[in-house]
Amino acid sequence: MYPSPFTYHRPASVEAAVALLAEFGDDAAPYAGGTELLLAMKMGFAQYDHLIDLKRLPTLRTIANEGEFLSIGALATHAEIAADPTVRDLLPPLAALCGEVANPRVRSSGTIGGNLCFAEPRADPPALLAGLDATLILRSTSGERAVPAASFITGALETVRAADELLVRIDILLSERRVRYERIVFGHRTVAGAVAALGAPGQPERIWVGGVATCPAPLPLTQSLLDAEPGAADARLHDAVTQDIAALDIADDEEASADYRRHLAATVALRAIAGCREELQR
Amino acid sequence: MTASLDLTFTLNGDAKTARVAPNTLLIDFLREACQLRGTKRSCDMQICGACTVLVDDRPVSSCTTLAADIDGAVVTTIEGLGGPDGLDPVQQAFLDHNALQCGFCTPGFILSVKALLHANPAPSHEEIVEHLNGNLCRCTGYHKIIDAVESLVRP
Amino acid sequence: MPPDVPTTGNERLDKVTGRAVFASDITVPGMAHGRILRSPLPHAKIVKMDCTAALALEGVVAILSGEDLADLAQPYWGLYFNDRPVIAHEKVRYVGEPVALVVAETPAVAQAALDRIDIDYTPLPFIDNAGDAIAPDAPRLHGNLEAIADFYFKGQARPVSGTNIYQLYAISTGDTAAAEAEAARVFEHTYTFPGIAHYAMEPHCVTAAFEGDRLTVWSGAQSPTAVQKVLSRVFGLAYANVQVIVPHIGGGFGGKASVKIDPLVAAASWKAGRPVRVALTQEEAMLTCRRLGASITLTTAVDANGIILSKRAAILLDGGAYADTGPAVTVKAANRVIGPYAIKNLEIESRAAYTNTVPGSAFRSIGGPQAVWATESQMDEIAAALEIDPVDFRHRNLLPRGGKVLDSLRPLDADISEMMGHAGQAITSMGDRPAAGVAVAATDPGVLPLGGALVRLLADGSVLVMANSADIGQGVRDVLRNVAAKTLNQDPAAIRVAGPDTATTPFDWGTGASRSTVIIGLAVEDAAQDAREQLLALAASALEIPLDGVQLVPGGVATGSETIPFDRLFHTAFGIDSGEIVGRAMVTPSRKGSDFATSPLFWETAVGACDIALDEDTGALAVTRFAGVADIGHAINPAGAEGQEEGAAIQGLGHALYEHLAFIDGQPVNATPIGYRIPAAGDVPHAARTVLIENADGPGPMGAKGMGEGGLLPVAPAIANALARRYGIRLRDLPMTPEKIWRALRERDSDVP
Ligand SMILES: Cc1cc2nc3c(=O)[nH]c(=O)nc-3n(C[C@H](O)[C@H](O)[C@H](O)COP(=O)(O)OP(=O)(O)OC[C@H]3O[C@@H](n4cnc5c(N)ncnc54)[C@H](O)[C@@H]3O)c2cc1C
Ligand code: FES
Ligand code: FES
Repeated sequence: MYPSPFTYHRPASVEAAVALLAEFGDDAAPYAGGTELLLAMKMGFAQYDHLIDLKRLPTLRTIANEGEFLSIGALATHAEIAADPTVRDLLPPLAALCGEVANPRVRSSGTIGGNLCFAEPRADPPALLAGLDATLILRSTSGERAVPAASFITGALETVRAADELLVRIDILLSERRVRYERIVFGHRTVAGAVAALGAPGQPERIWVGGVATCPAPLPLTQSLLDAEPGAADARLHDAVTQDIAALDIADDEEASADYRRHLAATVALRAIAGCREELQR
Repeated sequence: MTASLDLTFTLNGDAKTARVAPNTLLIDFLREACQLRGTKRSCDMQICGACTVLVDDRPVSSCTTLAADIDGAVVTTIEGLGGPDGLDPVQQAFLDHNALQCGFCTPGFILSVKALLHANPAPSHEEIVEHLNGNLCRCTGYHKIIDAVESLVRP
Repeated sequence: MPPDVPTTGNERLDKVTGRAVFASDITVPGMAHGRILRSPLPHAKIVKMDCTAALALEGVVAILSGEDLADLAQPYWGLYFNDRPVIAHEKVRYVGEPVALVVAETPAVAQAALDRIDIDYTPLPFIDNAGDAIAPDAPRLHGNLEAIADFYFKGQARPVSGTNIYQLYAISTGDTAAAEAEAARVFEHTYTFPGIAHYAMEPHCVTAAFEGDRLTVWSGAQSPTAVQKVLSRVFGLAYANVQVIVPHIGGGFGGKASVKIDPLVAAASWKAGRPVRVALTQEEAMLTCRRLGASITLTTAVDANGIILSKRAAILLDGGAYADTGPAVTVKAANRVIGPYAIKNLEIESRAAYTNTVPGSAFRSIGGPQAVWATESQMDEIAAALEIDPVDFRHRNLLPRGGKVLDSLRPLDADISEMMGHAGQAITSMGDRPAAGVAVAATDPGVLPLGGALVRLLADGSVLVMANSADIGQGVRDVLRNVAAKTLNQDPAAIRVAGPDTATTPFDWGTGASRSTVIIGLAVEDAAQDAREQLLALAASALEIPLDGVQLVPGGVATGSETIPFDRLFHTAFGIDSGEIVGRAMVTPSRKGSDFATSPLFWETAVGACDIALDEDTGALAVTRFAGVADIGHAINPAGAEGQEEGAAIQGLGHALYEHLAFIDGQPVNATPIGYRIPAAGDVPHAARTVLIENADGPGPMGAKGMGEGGLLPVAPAIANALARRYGIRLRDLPMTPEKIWRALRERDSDVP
């Protein structure tokens, strides 16, 4: 399989990259790790006349502790995030996830930004980042805007990103919450993932699931239950999670039927909550 | 901004330049332009790792990487391992432990192990298995491959 | 390649250094590249095909399509029926069938041209499973075809006229009705088994070059002489003008046995007037062939003491769009469903039917995994119902060494009971609990004793072994090297085993059915013996000493007082220090000293035992300990033998837990490397052990038996039996996915009265 011909651009700065995006719009694709993009192009699912190589823009891959935020450049690869001392220290579940998604080759090329912008329904980081109240910073020639991770992805392979926007970084609010991400992987794909971010006084409790519906989804009843009663009994939690998940639009596919997927989603959500609670008790 | 692209890179220790079309995949560049056929194409989808090569010591799937990406980089293929003193220790371990049968997956596995040991010279058993989980082999059943890597870490 | 790495002619060294040349590494001067346009429909008439726009694309050389078939000597080919057109002709019979092949200067151009071929189909009613295929009013894939006899395997298929059934095979002994009437209990269960992709890591790749009436083909072919034979028919060429060369093969498992894309690629070269290379993608390989799916109903009668009185089996195999070697699979499934048990009354009917899906074909132990899955699952189900320990239940019914599975077959040459003991011990040596699940198997490899070899001793003392056995990773060349070294008393390092080339090496039937070690091993042994005798005679006459005064030593001959290197011997004998000794041999069914009259030549036996762990929340299963036992007679290449067994067991694990080439409405839904899961390193049992039994009682060199297939067989039923025993659920449909396990657990826990 071969990608069809395109013009290759290697902008020297983020400004130049954004300018190219403004110039070519839909005909151009930012090229980050290429792990999804090249595959889609090889398979003929996508075709672009212009590829804008972001790999050589070091400012896009910085990871920094900004005090209130952990800021991760969109071009940081899974491997870089997994190995980064700051992430490992401040947000171990993100480092751990990035250290186990896909395989070592995809981790060494694939970027967090590419993962988010591709918006593959089975991806793990979108749910985790939504549960962490992360903010995505998008940039175009007209400036920057901030989009909550919770509303960035709108459907399978669909985001609110405009064709002329570049995702430049992800700002993750640092808090006292305990965070747990649990996932179930069969073969090459995640079949259900869930994050629980719990237990910081004054901050809302967050439970999100991913990998089951077309985009990540919060579990509102469960969140309110935990907000109201942090120590809610297991049976009530189970009911709330089940109800929340029953409300999600989950379809049968050749990998798993919908009821099984719902069960798995509930399982990982409950496991994530249990994990957090255990940590809180320590 | 070009229809063809000039690359400067180091391949298996030698400085090189080349001109490629931007849509050239690294695997085709290595196999055809460089005539290095030890890099194998199997799944063509980043699943199997048969096409693994090292770019600046990182493992990449050359089947889904642009040749453009090696500009300025150091590339190692299976042909670049070993030297006047014989085989690379990873190659030797694969031989000693019978970690190959048909051998089609072998170059990719060996480079993948090189990358692992470069990033983590003393991986635990679990880390070894997790890392190898990204390469597929239909012949060996993996036990002997895992043993080969273990022998390098815990002789 | 690094020039400083020593070259030894050692394939394993070549493989770790990347120097080994695989089928997909072949390039030929002037070569063009082919890409295949495939049918999107399971069954349809091709009503229009317009290649004008594709041909107009710069770099396109030629396009082969069904219209070209009229010019071929024999446009349809096959092993049991000439049912398969070289390329779809007027009609397509499965999604993925080649309908056009574009030849272009580069693969990218060939791929781009595919979109420009304008093609119209009229859909026809289709069937995508064997059950539907045998319904009375089922649409038919083929007209009534004439069976060809003794073409590849011995015998011929028995199709049921007017139906999709291309093979019907029956076994009947004793009186099952009477046995069932007097039985204490009669058990009936149905087990199903899906189509499975071979998933060799190297997808099929063939390069073909026509020059006038000479055709050269480089192919990753397990059976080069079968490829030669079919190509000679298709193109009307003499065998001598069809040369098939087999480079290293990146895995086969049967998926590269008999004949696959070779006629198609050769026809493209013939059309284009250029050498043409076609390298399939892994997705395309999955659309080229697969293991036959099966549904097997077993009706087994037992007496009050747990002795099996009779067994009936109804086997229905999903053959796909073309028969390929499916008729042989049908026969073997019937023989293999019996198991190594003493059962006097048998009634087995095995059928295979055409369906509009990927053609079924040979796959490591043909018909075996399907049959053993059913039989060994039911053994445990019966044992559980009778409240007998499953190992004990097997002991009560096992054939002893020398017992007969069927009167027409060779007596069993292994002690299964002893093997079960080894398996049990191996499991407890790896952990506390005894095995949770056990399964056994005895299969009759379809080994055709026909194959030759040359052993050429060259003047410098190096030895060239020439045999058509393809190295598909089973280490056959190491085996042959060891055999020649031993017979000639030479250092193995002095021996080079050439790769298969039909123009230079003697006929061999092919690599498959666990046969190479036995048949080609014997051929090499005989040829080496022939060379040895010639050498000793030459030495005796040249040195003027009695024959019993010389013997072979590494590098030369010894006369007691003196060692004469080969070059000096040749110098003395021939006047110059050149020349060679050519030892030759052809193993045939009437080979002296061998009993090749009864089939099988040996039994391939296997016992598997395991323990498992289950995540009851999700249904995810892990095999924690696995032990495999095989009776292989003698391990000529012990490391290779162990590796074969381990690899087979992990393929069995894939069959058991993950693999299923699925079709919905005739469309393959997971025939991609992303959708189709084979085992990876993280899936293998945490602890595993392989026990090889060696009694030197096989028909091969040094008492070896063939091996390499058996290890796959017990895995799925052993796991299913473990699930039943440890978790109280019985799965009868493979693969045992987490979802199926989860559903079974839910059913177990629901309070159904
Ligand atoms: C075999 C395999 C297994 C995988 N397993 C997992 C898994 O277990 N869990 C999981 O979460 N993911 C998994 N993935 C997905 C993986 O995480 C993504 O492929 C990777 O992160 C994508 O990043 P990339 O840099 O390669 O993106 P690219 O392929 O370069 O880009 C993807 C898309 O995003 C656009 N884009 C990229 N960066 C930007 C940017 N900064 N601004 C705007 N647009 C941008 C591109 O134009 C393109 O459309 C798997 C992938 C593979 C191939
Ligand atoms: S061929 Fe590149 S990962 Fe499989
Ligand atoms: S040795 Fe054949 S695929 Fe690994």
